[in-house]
Amino acid sequence: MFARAAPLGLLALLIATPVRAADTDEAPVIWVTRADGARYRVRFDPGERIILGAGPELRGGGAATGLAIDVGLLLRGERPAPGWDVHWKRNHELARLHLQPAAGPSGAAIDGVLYRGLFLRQSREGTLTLPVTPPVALPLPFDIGVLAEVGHLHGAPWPEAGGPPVDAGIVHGEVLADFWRSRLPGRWLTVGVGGRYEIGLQRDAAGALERDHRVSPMSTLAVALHSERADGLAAAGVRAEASHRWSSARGWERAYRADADAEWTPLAVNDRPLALFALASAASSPDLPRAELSVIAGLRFSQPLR
Amino acid sequence: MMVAAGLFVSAAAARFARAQDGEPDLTLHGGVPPDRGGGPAVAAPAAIVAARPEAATAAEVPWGFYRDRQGRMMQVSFDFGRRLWLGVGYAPHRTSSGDTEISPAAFDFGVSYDRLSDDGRTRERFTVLDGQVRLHSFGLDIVGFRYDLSHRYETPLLRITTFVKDPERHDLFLNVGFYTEALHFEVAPRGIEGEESLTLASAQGTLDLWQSEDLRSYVRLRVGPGVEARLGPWGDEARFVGLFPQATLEGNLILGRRAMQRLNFRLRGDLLRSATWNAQELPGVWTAAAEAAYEAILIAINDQPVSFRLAGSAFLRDDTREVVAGLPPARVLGWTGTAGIRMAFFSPPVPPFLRK
Repeated sequence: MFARAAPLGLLALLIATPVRAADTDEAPVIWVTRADGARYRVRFDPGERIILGAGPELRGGGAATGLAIDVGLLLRGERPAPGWDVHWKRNHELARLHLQPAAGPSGAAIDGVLYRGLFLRQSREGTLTLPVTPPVALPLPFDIGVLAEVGHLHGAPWPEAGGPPVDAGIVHGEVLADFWRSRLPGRWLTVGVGGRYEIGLQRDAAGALERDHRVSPMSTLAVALHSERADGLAAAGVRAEASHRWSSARGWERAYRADADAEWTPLAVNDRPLALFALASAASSPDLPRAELSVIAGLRFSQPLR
Repeated sequence: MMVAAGLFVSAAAARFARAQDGEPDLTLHGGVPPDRGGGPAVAAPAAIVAARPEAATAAEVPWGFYRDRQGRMMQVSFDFGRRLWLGVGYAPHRTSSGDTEISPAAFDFGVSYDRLSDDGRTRERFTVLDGQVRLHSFGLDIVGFRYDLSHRYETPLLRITTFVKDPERHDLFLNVGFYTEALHFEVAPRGIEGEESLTLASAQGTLDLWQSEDLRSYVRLRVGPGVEARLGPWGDEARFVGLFPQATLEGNLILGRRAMQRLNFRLRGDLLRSATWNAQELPGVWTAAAEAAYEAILIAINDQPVSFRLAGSAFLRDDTREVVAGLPPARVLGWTGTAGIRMAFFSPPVPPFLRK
């Protein structure tokens, strides 16, 4: 219960955090020098690091509970130059993987993505341009962005006879409107309309492979809220999506998914942050026998890349 | 016949896409056509966007942008060759069995990037994950990676001098380029359910019949071999099939003085050969396909263009025997139409073209 509520609580705290000088164009202080000359790091970038985390994963619906591993490479674009007019906030995730090596008699369970990129275009003024002569600009109260995801895997690593299904996401894209428009990296409130193509793979008891093509033709609506402290010592986010999708096995159907994550860094070892983290996800769709719920809470070690 | 068609199309292309010779005209003239005659050989510098004096501020704006009376700046030129796009459309479809599906939709996506060499004579184009997923019924056509280049040669391949009356020299240029494609996956490429093909790779030579000065627009022929793997039941007959050769007449035309429209077309013919150690009989030895698409940018949201796109494709295949129960051995036609919108990201203004 605590692990499930942690992301929401931390997120509320982060949103309530007043925006200070860090939300400006000024370069933040990263290293502090003690009176005896020793330096230590006080600021980290949660979007630019290699992560390795581990902790127990609890799964709803009677599924197995076990140790889960969380790994990935996160990269983030540079802060904008002073005096910028337009800036793309770029967040990349490569080989992001949650792995539960012993998820029960069926073997390991994976939830991972090969590449996910979140690009938010920040401008001092948003406009809708009609390219007539002369062009006409109508003001818009939001920034715009795009989410691109390639190669998503969820379920068992490989479909085995009589085993659990594997969902292989080929491509997922979302057009985003960012209503927060924060200059701080790692902060957004987006509403997105997206399209997705994924294949559900499952083998029956005889070993025959059944494929279920699922397509959401820009009919997925998603809301995401993410925030992090300016010094990077705490971050949290929630995301919810409802999808009206087409399945080659069942026709049109609705699917829902919600994710939450939170991280708090109480200490750093040799200037490398050691954090407490929690991940929670819930999914419901007609291809699942029952709603899925999973929570991971544990320790995460990070290797800063900047 | 294909060459004749190519010459005809290239002549038409040269007429309609002439605006792309030299720099794209981003000048906003308030209804007065620009005077392009006798202009300098070098494109004008960046300060090109100008509206009627009373409608715009005098502040400097970058190339491809416009500043209105309120001082708001907006992008008014977009490069079709550099973008990431997501789109959705209505895509009616006629299968090879004669069923017409009138309620499908399609989701399309892709990333493209092209660049011009420093000397302005070579344009390379990269495309990644260019595809369309159809639903109701399911269909997929996705290209993992595509690369091609166009080049303009300065030295003629042949110089023919005629001596009738005064001697005259006639130069024959062959603008040869290269095209390759890898991991092209298609579901029901011949319109038959259960058939899937994965083109592992193809490598082809191209001959530009016409090209614009900035090499964005072209009409070309390309010919070359390729190998595809057949998946599904038809793979039992021949797992690997060679395209020996694949011949295509295609064009990419950027239209309009502000380069806000694009027309693509493609006519393709494949001669198929079994590429297995022991040659196996194929159900058909040729396929032909035709595609055309028109795209026009309608609006831009925060400088990201939204375009309207119309597309159509048709294919014809050779069937020497009955591959689908109840479907007579015949040359079977199928088609797909698409009308939809696309939103593109990271599309910069069309850069000025400086002649070298």
